[in-house]
Amino acid sequence: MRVGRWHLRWSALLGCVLVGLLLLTIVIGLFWMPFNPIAIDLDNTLAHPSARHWLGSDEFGRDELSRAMLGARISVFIAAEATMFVILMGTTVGVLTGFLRGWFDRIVMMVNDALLALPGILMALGLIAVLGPGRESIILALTLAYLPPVVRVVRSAVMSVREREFIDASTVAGDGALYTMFRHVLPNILPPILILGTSVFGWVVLSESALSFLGVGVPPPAPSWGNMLSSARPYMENAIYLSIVPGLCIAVTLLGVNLFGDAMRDWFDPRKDS
Amino acid sequence: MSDPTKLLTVNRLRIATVPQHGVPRVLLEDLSFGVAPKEFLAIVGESGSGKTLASRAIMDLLPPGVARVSGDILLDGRELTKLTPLELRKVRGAQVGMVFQEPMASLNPAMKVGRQLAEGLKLHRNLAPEEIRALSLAMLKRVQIRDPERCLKSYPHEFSGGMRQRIMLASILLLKPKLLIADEPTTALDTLNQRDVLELMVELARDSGVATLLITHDLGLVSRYAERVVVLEKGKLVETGTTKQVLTQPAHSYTKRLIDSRPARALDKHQPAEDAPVILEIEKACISYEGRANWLGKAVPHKIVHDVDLTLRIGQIVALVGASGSGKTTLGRAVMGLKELSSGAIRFDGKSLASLTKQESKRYRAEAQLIFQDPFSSLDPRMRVGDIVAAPLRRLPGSAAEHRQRTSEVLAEVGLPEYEMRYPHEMSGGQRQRVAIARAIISRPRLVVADEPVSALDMTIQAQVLKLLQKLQREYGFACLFITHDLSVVEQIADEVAVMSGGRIVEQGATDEVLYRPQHEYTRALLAATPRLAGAAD
Amino acid sequence: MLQYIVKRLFLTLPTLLLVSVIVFSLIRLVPGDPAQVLLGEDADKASIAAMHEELGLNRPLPVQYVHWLSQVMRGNLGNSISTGEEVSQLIATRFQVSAVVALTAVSLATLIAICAGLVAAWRRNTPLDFAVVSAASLVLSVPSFWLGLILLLVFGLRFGWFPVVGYIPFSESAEQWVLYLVLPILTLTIVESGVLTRMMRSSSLDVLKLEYVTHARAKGLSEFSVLSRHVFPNAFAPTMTLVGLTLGQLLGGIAVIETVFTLPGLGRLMVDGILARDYPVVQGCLLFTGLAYVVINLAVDLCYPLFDPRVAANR
Repeated sequence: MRVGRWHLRWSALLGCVLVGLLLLTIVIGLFWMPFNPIAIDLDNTLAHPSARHWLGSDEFGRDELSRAMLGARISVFIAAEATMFVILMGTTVGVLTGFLRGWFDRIVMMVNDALLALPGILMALGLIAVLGPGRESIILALTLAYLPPVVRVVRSAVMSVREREFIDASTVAGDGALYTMFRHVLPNILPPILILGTSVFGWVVLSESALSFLGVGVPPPAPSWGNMLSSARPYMENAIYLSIVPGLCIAVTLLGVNLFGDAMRDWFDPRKDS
Repeated sequence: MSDPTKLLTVNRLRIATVPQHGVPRVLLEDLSFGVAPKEFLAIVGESGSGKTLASRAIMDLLPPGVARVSGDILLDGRELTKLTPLELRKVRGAQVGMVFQEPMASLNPAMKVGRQLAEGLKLHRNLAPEEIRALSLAMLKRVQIRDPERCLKSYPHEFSGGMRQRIMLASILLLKPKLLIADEPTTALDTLNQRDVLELMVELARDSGVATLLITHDLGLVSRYAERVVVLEKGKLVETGTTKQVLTQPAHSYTKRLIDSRPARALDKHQPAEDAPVILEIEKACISYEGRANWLGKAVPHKIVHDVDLTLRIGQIVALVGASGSGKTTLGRAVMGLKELSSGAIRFDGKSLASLTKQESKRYRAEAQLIFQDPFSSLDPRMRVGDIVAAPLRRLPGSAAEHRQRTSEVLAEVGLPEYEMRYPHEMSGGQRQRVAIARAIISRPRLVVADEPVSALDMTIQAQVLKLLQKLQREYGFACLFITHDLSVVEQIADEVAVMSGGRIVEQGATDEVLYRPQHEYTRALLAATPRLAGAAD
Repeated sequence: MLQYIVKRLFLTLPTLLLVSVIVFSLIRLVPGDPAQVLLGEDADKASIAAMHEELGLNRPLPVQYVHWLSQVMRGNLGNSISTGEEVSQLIATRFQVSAVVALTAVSLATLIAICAGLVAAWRRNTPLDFAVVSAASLVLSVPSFWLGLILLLVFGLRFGWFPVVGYIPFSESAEQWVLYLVLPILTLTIVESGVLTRMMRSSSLDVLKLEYVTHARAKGLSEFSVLSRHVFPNAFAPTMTLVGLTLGQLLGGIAVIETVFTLPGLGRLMVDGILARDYPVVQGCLLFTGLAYVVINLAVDLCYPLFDPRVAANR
């Protein structure tokens, strides 16, 4: 029984739906939330999910659903900013090194490889140690942490495009290096860059929530799914829902982003699975 | 129903795609043919003819997404299509052996050669390790591998393409099958190797009494080795019979077309004036590549082209012939300014390329153009045909309207009128190559370097494109440096030919002289290795 | 082959050097007096002055770096501000805990990935493949710390099979030690098997298309032989590279697992160090992690020729 295409269609659909839901939640959250996410209500602490608090309330009586919605906005905005910076900077460096090669390429790649030796979260941790906690630090730290792998991937994509004859044809037609990079190389590496973008977005969301979980990410009282999960730990036994909701949000977001990325990959290269 | 005189009988074989949804596409329709014991049968066709699928279907090795829909396949009276997988596995290798096309991918790179040779033997015969080793060594000697002992212990990547094909042959013939299926076994090898490997295969098959089924697109090989031939076009059998009959008195129009597309000696070649001005001069050119750096970081330069002298006059077509690795492509790239000379000079219109000013370089780009080999890689997939073709005009004077006009003019000339808005992936290989040609002539260059422009195309398409090139050359009058490995193409279109081997020109002169009165032994070997049609002048 | 090994070894040196430069600069970037930064806020004037001398803060930066580097190479990473212990000692003890969890989990995940990935590629587009790919995608999306929490909730709290907090070292009680490690290892195994399975499946699909696989079948080999002898060695190489990268990532990422299961590991050490502004510890962890990452990738590179002999060829 051949289920391949059917599976692809379904997973792509699911991905789009989940991503859509996420965006919808954020947009709604910009205008309306059931409660003020940081409003403390000591009469209603650790309330189980009910008609009043759909997802319950935390140890300070704050509405879990509202916090989850705000958390979505915070995490996604951080991730979007970081991803944008990483992709822009990484593409520039990757295209220059991959196309021009020579000593410039060698030096940059040596530095890049050294940076790669300090894996993502660790780099971010190190940078936050220096910069101090806060939204800007997180974005800067995550941007720098994920720059090396992006440069690597873009560079290798550029190098394989460079081997194709139409690049030589461009030179023979009289085009300069800059023109060739813009007109010929860039459009042809767009698919891998877009796919890389979704991957990076996923990594950043995960890293930011991990950092917040560890206590070095988004500082309270601002909610991030990560720090919500962290503060839910002491109440694991009597308020289970507090441990489930934030984690579920992260998982669903990541699933949506990953499936969406897969769908894009298949759309650009449908030969892969057929 | 099986013909008792035949070893292999294929009856009304039908192969189609198995899509997830939608209608299956028929790839091979009602093919019936037979191979007698010890017979040599060739299946001839171009891409899309279904010949490879037919060969794979025999042992049920069709790729995923494609399946045999109906038809029988009988080997020695046994219905192969009705065998269980276990029984079929016993047939594979022991009764039917298969040689594939890509020597670079035909052997497992992670396994030593000796082990791969032994695998089949261990499976089908009950032999002691020493016996297996002895048989393997003997067979390797037979296929002319120089150091069989070392070969057993080595990995495939240590061998060249030609040697890998021999190892493949050895591995298959060790099992002594009754039928050998060879799917374009030498297409990926260069001319000299092709001949050697094919001769070896035929010899081995003859000695061991093995029937051979050769899948090929090359009529030259068919005429040389095959007793009978089956001609396929787009999944249908159009003609079959003895080789002599089919090739000398073809019944079907497609067969006729196929035979006619063989490059033939042109009898009415346009002779350029003897005193036409020299447009390109290559003098003592040497080109080196930076070698691989060893662990100290030192790179040893590796010479690709040694002291080459070559002259081109306006209106002349000079062919540069050689095997892969001979340096011909590198030289072509140097002429276009894509590679620097390490010594010597290339002069265009009297001016050395190395000393051109920026302004003069721009002019050079308009006057000299290059047609690339691979139609699938030389066009930017993200650009429309119109933009691709007009690219060389970008830096030239003229309004946008004038350039547009010129673009549609040139597209009409190559037989692709109104194609400006299309994308490359919508077009066939032959059409793409026409686009490449259009791009090369749009600026009315005085020199065109054509780097194996037809090697990647089917036979009938090759013929069309070559004719187009000839016509354009006659009309525009540009000088053409035609780089190729195929001597028969040279015969058809070149006025002069230079033969390259190991980075040096070993012989050059007028085409007729070099091809019919060759002086150098390399030229002679190359000529001997180029198969011709039976009946053509030799 | 020897040339390949030597070349690889040589190439790690500049990387290690650069890593040390990066770490050195990072610590120097912390605002304030470097001596105070390294000694903590409660240090007295005398110690600070002594540290000034030791760091040679009046000397030019490159000299300071060389001096610092020589200390590092001798194993002197300073002392923790919080506990006063030698940083190198701390790292050594903590690393053992992290290493056991990480190595066991990644090994198990690799085994799962090889089997699942190969089979899924072999039976492409069938319900089995669908199941494997879906499972891998799901698993990829689950954050490790959340999965850990859930497992802790279910198996630790609800069923009471495993302890919820703390850690007992192997030296004290082997049985207890195992119990404390089961859940963290299980969590990590599940999480890492997702990405490894996808990689294995993808490279197996690529290899299955190659001619030598059809050639092997044409010889009459059973599917099992084809998969194990011809597909696996060639498909595994890229996955192995990924395994190395994963282990490297885990050097930092394991901090979350250690937090959830309260294990005294290296990741937790670094995070605590950051929270407490314990810069000697942070510096030491970064250096050690960089070194470990380089060593791991070196090991992967050296094993690569076993699966793809082409890389070691002197072409």
